[in-house]
Amino acid sequence: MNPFNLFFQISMVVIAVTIGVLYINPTLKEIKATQANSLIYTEEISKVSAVNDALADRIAYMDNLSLANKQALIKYLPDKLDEVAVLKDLKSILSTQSIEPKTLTYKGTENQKGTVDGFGNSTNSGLITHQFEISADITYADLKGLLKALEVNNYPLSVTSLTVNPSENGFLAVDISLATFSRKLEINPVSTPVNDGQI
Amino acid sequence: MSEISSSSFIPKRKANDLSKPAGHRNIFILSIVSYALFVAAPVAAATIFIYQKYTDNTFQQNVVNLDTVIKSFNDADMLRVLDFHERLKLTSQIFHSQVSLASLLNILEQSTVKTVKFNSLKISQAEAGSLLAEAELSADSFDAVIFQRGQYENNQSLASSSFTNLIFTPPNSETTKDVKTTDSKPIKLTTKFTFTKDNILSVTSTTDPENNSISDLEVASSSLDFSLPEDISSQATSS
Repeated sequence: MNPFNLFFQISMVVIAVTIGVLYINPTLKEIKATQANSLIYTEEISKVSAVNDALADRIAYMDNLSLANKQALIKYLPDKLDEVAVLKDLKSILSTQSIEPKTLTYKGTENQKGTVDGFGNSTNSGLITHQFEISADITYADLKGLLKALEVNNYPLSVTSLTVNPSENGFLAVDISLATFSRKLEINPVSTPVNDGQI
Repeated sequence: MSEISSSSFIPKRKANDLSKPAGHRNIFILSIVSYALFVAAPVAAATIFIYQKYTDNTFQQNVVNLDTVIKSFNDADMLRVLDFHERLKLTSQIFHSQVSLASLLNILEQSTVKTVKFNSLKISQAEAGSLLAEAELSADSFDAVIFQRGQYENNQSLASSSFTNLIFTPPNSETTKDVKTTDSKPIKLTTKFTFTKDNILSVTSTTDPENNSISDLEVASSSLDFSLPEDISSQATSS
């Protein structure tokens, strides 16, 4: 055998092995890493796409809600409560029931007092509780009618306290503490002075 | 003929001499292997180079796709949804905490006998959805009190009632003469009731539908399943 041929063949083997060790093997590892990363990206794409799709569904659902329902929701839980409007509504309810109140008072928010609202939740729950008070001399039938009228209002007027004592001429001296709610926004609302809406 | 061949001047070699040496075949196999390796290595390298480009391109495409879908995420929409979800959650919380005092008075009315009179009544919220009622009663006789207690105990809504501060004052006693009161019943007592939410459900669910209020809202709230998926919530939190 020609020694040159032998050297040539050995060189070919060495070159092939060198290619395999120095290029093919590291490149295969890189390809594996790239494929793994690509798989991760694919999964993330599917997740983000799912979120986008779900978000689009929610937005479509919200947009398809009737205007009446949206307005009812805003009315039921406003971002900012107009205490004067609530007092006016209370006066209107009382007038509807033919009741003339002795006092009709806005007592302020529980948020200012730092207490716990009637639901056992703290004021950090996202709600601001606004308290109102009605005092009147009325009959028992008037009282029941008033309570029913308060319950069917467009926004909650929760009776947090009711005190009934006998009064003159067969009337009952009734003190009703009411609570209604607004949302607690990120920006602190302007503080409302206590006893600022007495009629 | 054989003689001619044997007489030839050309030297003959025996058949045994034609066998190849053993080393020739090994060298031939080495040649095949070396050539094969020498060809296969560059081919494999080229293939892997191309495949690497392909995987790199795929990865880059995935990166671009991810960027695209991330950019298509609308923060404003997300805030809208979260705001609406928060409002619905709070609204539902308020709505399901409402109790009906009118129902409570009806329950008391139906279970109170005529010989017992309510002198005063104080109702306050005790816990979420439950009310504590404290009343001062007066009765004509102990029989009336016993009968009244039985009536309350028989009523599931009022079974928690308890009578305390039971005071009997004879009508002709000096205490009665001194105290100016319109109540002439000799027996006075205090009773407490605890009403749970189930006993005093709010009547708002029976609101006039044309009133565009709570009943509509409840329907909207119940039909609108706004339980956000975890991934949305987490993304909103991170964003």
